Amino acid sequence: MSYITDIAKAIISIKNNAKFGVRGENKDTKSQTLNDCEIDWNDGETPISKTDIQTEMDKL
Amino acid sequence: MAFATIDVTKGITGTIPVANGGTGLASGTTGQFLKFTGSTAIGTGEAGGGKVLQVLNMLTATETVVSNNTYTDVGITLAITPSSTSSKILIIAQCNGVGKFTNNTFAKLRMLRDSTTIIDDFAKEGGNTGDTATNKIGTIGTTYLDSPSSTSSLTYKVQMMSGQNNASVQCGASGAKSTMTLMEISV
Repeated sequence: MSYITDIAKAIISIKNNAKFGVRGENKDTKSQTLNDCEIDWNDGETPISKTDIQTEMDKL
Repeated sequence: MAFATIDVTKGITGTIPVANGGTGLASGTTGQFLKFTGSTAIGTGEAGGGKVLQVLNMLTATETVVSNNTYTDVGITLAITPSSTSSKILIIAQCNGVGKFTNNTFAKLRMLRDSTTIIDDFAKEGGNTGDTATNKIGTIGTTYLDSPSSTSSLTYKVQMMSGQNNASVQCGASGAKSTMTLMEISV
């Protein structure tokens, strides 16, 4: 699994039906952090903070 | 038997008519081509239609996951400024590492010029298995000849969405890199 899919899994873990798109460089081509990635919250979805997403990523 | 020779650099004036195997021209124009302008007349002119005026290319290692049925940018985007309103833009897009990531869904992709959809759903049912299995299908691509009628900067981009809500699709998985090429063609 990639860093982007890890982010997606963390978001889904926080909110199973979250409507979002997450986008960033593949980790094998660029060292990145959550702040390097873009998250689109679709259809009026309430944004989840990157701090909360990072906390969930650390748990998974 | 010896042939007589003629020194054409001396003693000859005028031009040789087309009907006699010449061009009928006294001179040409730098960078232009000879073309028939009548059944027995030749002139100079620009190259014919189909000439490639400019080529642009991009490559991205962007990975995108979309969890619902809202079209979302996947990082495949490229801008071009046509030199003439009559020009056409040939678009070649390769979206690599596409697939279904979670649950029962499929990937849909579309092509936009600025905010205008020019190819709706050039991919549909991408990665569909009818169940919740992950399914990476690899490359989805499209080629399209656009007629933008513009000399302004135009941005072409690919967007993706999940066919179903609460189910994710992916582009750029496993380090796959995607590309877009734009060619301005004169017609």
